[in-house]
Amino acid sequence: MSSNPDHETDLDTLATLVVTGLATDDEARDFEARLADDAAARAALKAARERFLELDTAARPVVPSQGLWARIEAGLTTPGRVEDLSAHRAARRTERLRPLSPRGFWQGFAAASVTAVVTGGLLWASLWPSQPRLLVVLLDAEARPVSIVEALDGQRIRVVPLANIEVPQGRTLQVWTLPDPATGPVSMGLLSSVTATTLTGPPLPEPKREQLYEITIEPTGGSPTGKPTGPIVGKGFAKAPQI
Amino acid sequence: MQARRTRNRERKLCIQTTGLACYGSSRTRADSTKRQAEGMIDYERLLQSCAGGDRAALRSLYDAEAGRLVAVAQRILRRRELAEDVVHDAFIAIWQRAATYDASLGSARAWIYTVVRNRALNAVRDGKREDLRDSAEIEPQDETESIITDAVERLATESRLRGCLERLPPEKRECVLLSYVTGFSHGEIAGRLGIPLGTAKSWVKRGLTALQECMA
Repeated sequence: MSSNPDHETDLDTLATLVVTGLATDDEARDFEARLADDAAARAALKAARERFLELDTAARPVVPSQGLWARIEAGLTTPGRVEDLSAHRAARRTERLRPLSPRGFWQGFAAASVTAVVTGGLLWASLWPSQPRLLVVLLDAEARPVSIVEALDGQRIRVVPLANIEVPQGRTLQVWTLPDPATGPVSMGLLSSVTATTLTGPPLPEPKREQLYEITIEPTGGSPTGKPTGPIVGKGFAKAPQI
Repeated sequence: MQARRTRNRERKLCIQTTGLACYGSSRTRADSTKRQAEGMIDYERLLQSCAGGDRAALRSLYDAEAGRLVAVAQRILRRRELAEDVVHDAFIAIWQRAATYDASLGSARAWIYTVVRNRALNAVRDGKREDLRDSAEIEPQDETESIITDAVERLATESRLRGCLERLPPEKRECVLLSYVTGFSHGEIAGRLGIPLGTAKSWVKRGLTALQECMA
């Protein structure tokens, strides 16, 4: 590049403008493009961020609304299902300088919930002509339906996948339920392949309405601790069919 | 006995919102609270744990920073509910992109604040704050002034940043603080100070450069 003596100053000022949000779209885009292979640009961005950080960390903290954490937690996706890396990297670049609009998440959530109910209903109608005891639609963190669980009795469940669940190599899917909080989570079995399967777990009391079912990703052979340790693929609460 | 009952109740609530991961996470949370009290939070390690799917790590970051992050977003957006929406989205993004955190672009803590700040600035660009500013009742004239004054007064007295800010000529200092703390655009700074846009741009640039030289 040029050996302009003002080069470094320009870079620092540009980084500062990017950090304060005052850079123009073009400036931000050019700067972003330089980050990949320009160590000086990276150092300038780092210095600019650290220079102002104290103004943020010294801010007078407020007490966030009670439900804020619950809302965040409800929106967490499963890390095991992360999209391909290039899409990820593109998102990362966007995040650095030109964040995506914060809108849309709840709109998406609402739409996904409607889909879940409709899909769940249709599938249930075609798959179970006789009345099941309890049904669970397992949703992922974005409220997309990933599986239906039918509780057949205290020991057996039928699992029907509704989405293609990617299982990393050396991992397996494990199905859990929570018969009651004192007992804690109980494994109903492992899913070796993503097809409709009937699993037989340990003898448990008759499943109840609102009983929690969950599928997690665990090491092959199942969770080493006997309790869920891996990311949640989907979860849901048992409902009685209204027919 | 009492403690166990409380834990069970907390766990019940946790299960409603989270799932079975609530089992086994309580100790991690207690530990994180302790570390926080000691002021020894390892943000980078917590981000790594988030990347590995550890929700308790995200919760630790939340416990440590959410109050300040909401405050930072609120200085920019003014309205609490908008600020919390931004922090909500930011935590989802932090969770999803924890693996992409790059230490060569700043500390892990700085990255977390950057995610929140960028989203807040973006929301302003979407016009969210303008709606508010049309109404003098909700945005009293001196609120901006008290926000930037408070921001400086909250800095430690021995802080280098504070020393450098206080050494700037008042109008340059105001430009710097309006741009960083309240997220004002050049146009908003010009409007507030009653100066032409070109002058605002030049004052901002000179203020930022002077600050940078003072701190170098």
